[in-house]
Amino acid sequence: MNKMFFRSAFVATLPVLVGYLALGMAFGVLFSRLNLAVPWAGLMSLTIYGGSMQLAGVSMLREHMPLLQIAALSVVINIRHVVYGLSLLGKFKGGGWRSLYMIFALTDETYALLTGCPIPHGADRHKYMFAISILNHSYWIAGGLIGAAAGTLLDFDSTGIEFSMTAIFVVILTDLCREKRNRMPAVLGLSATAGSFLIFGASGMLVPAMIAILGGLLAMRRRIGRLYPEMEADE
Amino acid sequence: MSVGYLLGAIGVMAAVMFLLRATPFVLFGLGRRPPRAVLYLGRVMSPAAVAMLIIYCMGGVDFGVWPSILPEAIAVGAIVLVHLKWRNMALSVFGGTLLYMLLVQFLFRG
Repeated sequence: MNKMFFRSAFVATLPVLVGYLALGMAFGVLFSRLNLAVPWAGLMSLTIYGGSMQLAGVSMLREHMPLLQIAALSVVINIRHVVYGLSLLGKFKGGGWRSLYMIFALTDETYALLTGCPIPHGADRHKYMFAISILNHSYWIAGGLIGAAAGTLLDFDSTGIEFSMTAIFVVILTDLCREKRNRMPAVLGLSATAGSFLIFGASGMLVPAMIAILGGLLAMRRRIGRLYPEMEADE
Repeated sequence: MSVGYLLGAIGVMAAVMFLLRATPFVLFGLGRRPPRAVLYLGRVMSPAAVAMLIIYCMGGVDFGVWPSILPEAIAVGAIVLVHLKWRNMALSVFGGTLLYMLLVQFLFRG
């Protein structure tokens, strides 16, 4: 029984395996340009566990940025994570130490998997989600270590490898939009962020975009909420 | 770079990440039932947030210079088509990244 749910968790994470190996390697290769020992890359992937944070973190380390400034910039880059947990409050309830780990390991991709894919019949919900979380985390660490080692040993042109992050999100959104009712929030997210980008530029776009998205979703609550009738039955 | 600075910097990044991820659970997870508006946002936010991340990832693109968006546009279009046809996430992500790397390294060298 246990093995069966672990196997279906593994199958569910296969796309993330590819994406995280590629993106983790992108981080590792970038990291190798700092001329630090490879285990430091592993420590970052183990404890920080966030793609955009670690890619940005490499430039912060290179510039020897003061810790306070690192803290402020980290908040801005990752503020979106504040809202992810909202979708999982109910699902994580009662999971004990597993839930504590799953909160730590709640990356963009894991969030998409945990909110998107169904739990197999008969599987323990928390154990299944925990398996997904820990598998994704291990792919990420492996990718980072491979990339850091490869970057130190080989000299190859990795320009463009960071696009794997975009690719993952495009695929996730394509899947979400197969369901018609998800399209309106998706269009709202695209237009709010594009507008914010035009007004505030690349470095200041995230926070205004998030405010616009939350405001827009709340403003359209009656229209969008009707498309999710199971919400009424939730909890 | 000193070991102390490295540990401090990595520690700060890790602490910020965990605190941000834990915020909703600290606010609403202690047995209290979250307000309906919060539950609603949790349910519908996923597509909007992922859409936001796509634009965010492309934040480095200079939209003012016409051809600079072409590699992104071509790769994103290819990923969507390949994914709609085969529904294979690994193929779509890997193929799309490879296509993009080839485009920026050979066709659109700037």
